[in-house]
Formats: sequence, C-alpha cells, structure tokens
Amino acid sequence: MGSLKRFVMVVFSITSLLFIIGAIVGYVGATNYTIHLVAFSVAGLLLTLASLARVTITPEGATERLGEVSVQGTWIWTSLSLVYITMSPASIYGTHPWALAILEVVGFVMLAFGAYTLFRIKRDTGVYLSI
Amino acid sequence: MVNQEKKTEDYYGDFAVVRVPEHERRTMMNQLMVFLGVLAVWAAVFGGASMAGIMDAWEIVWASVLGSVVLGVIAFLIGLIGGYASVPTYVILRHSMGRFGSILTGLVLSGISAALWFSFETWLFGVIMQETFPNFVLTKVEIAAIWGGLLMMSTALIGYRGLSALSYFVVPAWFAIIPMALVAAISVHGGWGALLAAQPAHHVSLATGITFVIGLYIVGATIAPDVTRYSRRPFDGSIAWFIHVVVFMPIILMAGGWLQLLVPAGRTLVAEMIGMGMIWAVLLTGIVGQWTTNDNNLYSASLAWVNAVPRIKRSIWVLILGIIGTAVAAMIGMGYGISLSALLQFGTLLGTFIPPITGVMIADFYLVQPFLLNRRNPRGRYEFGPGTIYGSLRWPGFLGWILGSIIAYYTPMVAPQMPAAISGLLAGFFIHLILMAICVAGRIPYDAGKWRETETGW
Repeated sequence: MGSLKRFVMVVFSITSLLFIIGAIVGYVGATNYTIHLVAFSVAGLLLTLASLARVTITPEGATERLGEVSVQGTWIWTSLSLVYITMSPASIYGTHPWALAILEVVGFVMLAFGAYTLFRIKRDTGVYLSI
Repeated sequence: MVNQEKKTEDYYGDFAVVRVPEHERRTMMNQLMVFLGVLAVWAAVFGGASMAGIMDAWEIVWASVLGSVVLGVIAFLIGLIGGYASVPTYVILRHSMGRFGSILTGLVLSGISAALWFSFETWLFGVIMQETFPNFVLTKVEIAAIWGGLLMMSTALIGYRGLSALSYFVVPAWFAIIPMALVAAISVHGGWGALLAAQPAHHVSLATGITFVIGLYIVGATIAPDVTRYSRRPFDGSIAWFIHVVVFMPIILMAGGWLQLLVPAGRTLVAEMIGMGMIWAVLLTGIVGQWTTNDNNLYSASLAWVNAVPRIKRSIWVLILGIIGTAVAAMIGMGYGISLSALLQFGTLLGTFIPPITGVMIADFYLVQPFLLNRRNPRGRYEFGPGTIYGSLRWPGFLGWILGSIIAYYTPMVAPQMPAAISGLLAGFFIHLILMAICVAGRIPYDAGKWRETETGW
C-alpha cells in the first residue's frame, strides 16, 4: 500500500475516533438536548467512514483520484470541527466544564489535523484543494 | 470538428470570456459546495421567515419543496448550457442576444444587480455583527461593513479557486449548525406540537407560496453557468444545482419559516441563537455564511463587466466593484444620505428584467439552435474562440427580453395572481422562439451587424 494512502486511512481512522469521543462526551457531559451533540457526532462519523471507504477502494497508483477523494473527505470533517468549537459552549446545552474542554480540544485537534492533512495531500498528489 | 477547443489566451483571468480548459474543470462535489455556499446565508433564512406571515408549517414545507423543484428544473436547463459551453452566462448570451445584447443583458443580470446586492449584503453583514456584538468598535455597522467587504473581495479576487475552497470549509458546518439551532429553538418555544398548531396572520394559496420561493432564487438560477462551466461532464453542474436547491433550500426556508411561526414578528433565528448562548455559532455562520454568498455576487458581477468592457482584467473589476460596493455599504451604515430603500427598489426592479433573459436562453439552446438552425449536437451548438462571428444584435432574442421585461413589470398590476417571474420567463421564451421561427421561415435576417471575436476572447 502506498504511503500516502496509508497516511490518509490512518488520519480518517483517527478522525472517526475523535467523532466517537465527541459523541460519548456529548452524551455524558451535556445536561440538555444531549441528542444534538450525539446526533451530530454520529453524522460526522458516518460521513468520515464513507470517505474512508472511498479512499480504501481507490486503486493503488491512482494518485490523482486518491488525492481528490482524500481532499473532499478531509474538507468535510475539517469543516465539521467548527461545529464542536462553536456549538459546544452554547449555554442551552449546559455542558459541564470538563466536557466542554474535551469537546473544544476535539474540535481544535480536528481543525489543525485537517489543515495539515490537506496540505500534505496537495504536496504529495498535486491536486487542487478546491477540487 | 465539433467542440474543438480553439487556442485562446486567458488574458482577463479566471477564463472570464474563454472556455475553461479541461485540466481546470472541477468535480460535481466542488460545484455542489459552491452552490451551497451561495445558499448558506442568513438572508435566505430571513426569506424563509417571511413565509411564516402567510403559511402554516405544512404549507411552508410544500411551498418550499415544490418551489425548489421548479427552480431546480429551470436551473438544470440553464446550468446544462454552461456545462456544454464551458463559458460564463454573459458569453453564452452572445449567441441568443448578439454581442451588444450580451453586454446589456449581462450588465442587467449581474454587472449592476449583483454589484448592488454585494453592497446590500455587505451592509447586512455589518448589521448582523452589530446585533451580535453591540459594544465593540470593530462590530459597528459601518466598520464591520468595511472589513467584511474586504474579506468578501479577497476570495472573489482569487477567483473560482477561492470561492470553492472557502465553500468547502464553511458549508458542512453551516448546514449542521442551522438545523441544530432550529430544533433547539423549536423545543424552547413549545415543541413540534406548538409548531404544527401555529397559524399565520393570513393564508395564501399554495401557488402564491411556490411563486414566492421561485422569486427568491430565480436570479441565482439564471447565472448558474458561471459555476457549471467548470463541469468535467456536462451534467455535473446541473445535477449539483438540482441537489442543492431541492434538498437543501427547503431546509433553509423551513428554518426561517418554522421558527417565525413560534416567535413574535421581528425576532429572528439570529436573536434566538444568541438567546440560547450560541454566540460563536452566530459569529461563524454570520461571517463566513455572508462571505461565501457575497463573494459570488462580486465574482459574477466582475465576469459580466469583463464581457462588457475591453482590456480591463477581471481582478481589476473585482477591486473597482468591491471598493465601491463596500464604500456604499459603509455609508449606508453611517447614514450618509444613501437610501437603502432606493437601492433595494432599484435592485428589485432589475430583478424583474431577469427572468425573460432566462426564457430566451432556454428557448435558444433547446429549441432555436437545434430545430431552427439545425445545430443538433449540444457540444457544438455554441461555438466560441478567436474569429467566431456573432451577430452584433440578435434582435429576436433582444426583443424577447425587452417585451418580456415589460410584461413582467406590468403583471402585478394587470394579473396579481400571476407571478411576474413566471410571466417574464414564459414571455421571453415564446417571443424569441416565435420571432426566430418567422425569421428562419421567411429568410428574414435575424442578426443586425456582425461581430468577430478577438484573440483574447472579447
């Protein structure tokens, strides 16, 4: 397996894990409308797994195709990281401080991780970030 | 040979008047994100909110879905022209309106009206910033309008790459936040039972509701080729448009409309979100949502001006229009003698003149060219490139636009139940078709003068 494909699959797997953490922390740490953070996290997880599946079935050597599906998938979960960052502190959810801290960390890690992944893919495959 | 790409330099930048080359074309997902970026704006939610005064919850659903389907079909047809031709809307118009006709209609379609909307949206951006953070210097209406305008200019200046990268970053988050906020707000105000029981002050027919929805976005539908010209396969952009408007536009309209049914008039989803402590989400959706929409306004306006005035590059037009638009927005914010209502009235008036252009374009590409002028192959139906000869004025199309505009203008006075957007579109469609049929059958010249395309595509 090519190193880039392996890298992308590892990144998407870690991101899936972060969404699972987000779902658990949202369920345990929010006092109102718990279902919102859980449902959002599950939706993010499903989208990331779908992107991971697309990457997995991309043939070896199809660098441009791999770059395209990786960039598209990465944009989606990078964008969704903004939801953790901006929605978790909303007073209506009554999120415990420790849970809020974890959700913010999850959001910012995903955001930074996403930015790095995008530029790494662009460097290695040459595809546009606006593909 | 059909669809042979003539060698043309991209003098104006971002393929403003030339075909987008194969290697620069983008995926369907990319175009979906750009379209959704246009839709992801508070003004669209406010548009939905205004439906609450005339419809109940289920009527809002039906009007939103059916109106969106009609818009989806119209823009599918228009977008597909861009998918085949790979040039912006204003260049496409050279074939149905003639070269001078394309200049004039392009300026009405985007050059002036989109620039006006850029100003309005920039001012609205300032208003949202001040409402969200009332006690900061940087969020005063006029100050926020200035830095907001500059932000919006930045991606328009980069061009399509800038628009689409920003949309990729913003759209998924925007379409996650708004439904979450809506569901929370509905729960706060009595839940789904209260929503279904809520009644508007007045009821209107479903047809009126559908018309309202169509009117909200018909201009966006007409300039779809500005984006779909980047399609790898002709249908990509059209399908992206259809999905974005049929699946996502009802969500936005329902978000505004449903909430407005439950809260006092004038209280918006923005105020509700602030009340629920979602200040950072308001800031995000306000800044970047407005940004992804308004940069498209400026981008389309710059493309129309490139088609209208020679030798000035697209990026220069972005700067000229962006600076003027931002200054106007800031001056409205400061109350320096510029009437917002006059600006809006003028923008709305221009909006009346746009659906006939849509009708002419659809009639020309799908009926006039293949069946009257015998250009059956859609890929070669419209030719572009150095040396291509256009009519200086294709008078049947131009007359279709003028008469269609007059009909659309007087429709509310003569037949109030008939939507002006629809009457204008149908009038443009049939007048162009019938006049061209008469010209072809009677061997009457339908072009006044000739125009030869230059090496730079102008």
